[in-house]
Amino acid sequence: MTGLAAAIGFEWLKLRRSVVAWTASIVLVLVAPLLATGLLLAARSDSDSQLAIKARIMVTDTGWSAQFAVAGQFLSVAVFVVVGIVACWVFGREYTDHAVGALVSLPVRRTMIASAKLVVVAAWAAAVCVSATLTTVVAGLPNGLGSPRTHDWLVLGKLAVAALLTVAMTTPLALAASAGRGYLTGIAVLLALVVTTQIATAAGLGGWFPYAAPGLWLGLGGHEAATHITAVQLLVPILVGVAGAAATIAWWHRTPPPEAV
Amino acid sequence: MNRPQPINVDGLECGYRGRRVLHGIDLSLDAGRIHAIVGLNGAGKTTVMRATLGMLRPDAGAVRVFGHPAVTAPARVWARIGYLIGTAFSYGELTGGENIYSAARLHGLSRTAAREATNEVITGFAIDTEAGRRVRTLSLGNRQRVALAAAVAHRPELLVLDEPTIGLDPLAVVRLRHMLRQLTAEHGAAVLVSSHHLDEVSRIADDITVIHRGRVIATIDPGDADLEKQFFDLVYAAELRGES
Repeated sequence: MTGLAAAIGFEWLKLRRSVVAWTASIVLVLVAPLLATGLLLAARSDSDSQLAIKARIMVTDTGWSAQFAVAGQFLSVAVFVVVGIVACWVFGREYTDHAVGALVSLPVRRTMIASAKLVVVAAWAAAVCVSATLTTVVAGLPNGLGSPRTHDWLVLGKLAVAALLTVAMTTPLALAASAGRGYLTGIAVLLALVVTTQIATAAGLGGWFPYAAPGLWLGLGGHEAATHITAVQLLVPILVGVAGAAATIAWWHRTPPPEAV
Repeated sequence: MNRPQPINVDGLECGYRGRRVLHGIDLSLDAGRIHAIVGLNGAGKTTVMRATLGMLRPDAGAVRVFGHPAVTAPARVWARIGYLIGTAFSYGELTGGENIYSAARLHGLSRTAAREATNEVITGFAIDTEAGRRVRTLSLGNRQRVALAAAVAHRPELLVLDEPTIGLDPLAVVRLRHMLRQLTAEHGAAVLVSSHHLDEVSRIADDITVIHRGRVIATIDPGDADLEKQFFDLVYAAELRGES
């Protein structure tokens, strides 16, 4: 376990020093909740602007629940894109920088290094999601929404759970960045998944398409679609996450670095 | 019972994308000695080194490190080895000290031991200033000094260095030479080093192997006069024999 601890410490240090991680943290913790608040204000205004009209479609609740649901809809998309980019960078940067030689011929096995990368991305993403949830509460305070009711806290809990489910589904991107030997391959897969999610949702498959389910649960497809999301459909993202993590570790175990090809 | 040699290469053949790069390389390295590999660009020096580090699977022949096949050597073997090949251990976003500390940790040192080892090599390589700066802001030579310090911080028993003097100023070259001598003479470490600089090689190596077009064409005694003339005579003779 000493090797794993050393690898986690090393990966954590690199992440702390990376511009990618800091930018991603700011986007998720500040920008997404504030945008949601702005959208909510637009929906509640008397304006007939396109933005206000679209915002009213997204708001399916009232009070704090509306604040949390709209923020959750933003976060369900933003978390996948932003955490996905960080996961791609963490797993692909050594390949892109031709520095993967630093991670071989070590007493710390490559599976431990891959595990450490997964742990660090998961821990960072969880911390950022919790922070984004808190920011959503703080951002709603100036709106004069009064004291949150029990139902409001449930919606906030849904927001946090949906964000974490989305984090879990970034592990296949780690595999893509590793197998593609660079973060750009992972980002290409990320974009393909975002487009596929749109198509699957439009085709009515949303609930069973894991990348769409958390967002739909939060009301991204309207109130009607949200009520049809089942617990089983929300378990699928966890299975995707576990399978992606296992496949990524297996890939690092079996596949030699590019110098060995 | 004899202790296994740090490196033993026997009839090594390796290919790269369908092209044969090494043709039956034999090479061995004893503890306490510095063995240099010299050759022209593309001769196969780096490929031999990668094979000794288990980064390449031989098509034929055997590569053993401390008695273990290099591609399947256990973790405890890699804890005894340090290396510098290409851009190994030079993370631009980390400071020089953080790079060295991280390399030491990944080679099995505890946090305390890694901190002590880091301070020791920072002093040894005289990189106090560079240790506190992010590596991406350093010159090529200073980056190389940091990478060398990272390679030796855990005090390896076998050190594999590919062109270690690239970018180094004359003072840093002298310090490197002193450090290699100290590692071999005082700690019994073995060093495999490649270089284009024949003059430099003659100053540090105990044994010199000349590689040309993926074959060992000769071994030279570092004490022999006019190493450069010998080297080119050997390469010219190999070309005439058509060893390609």
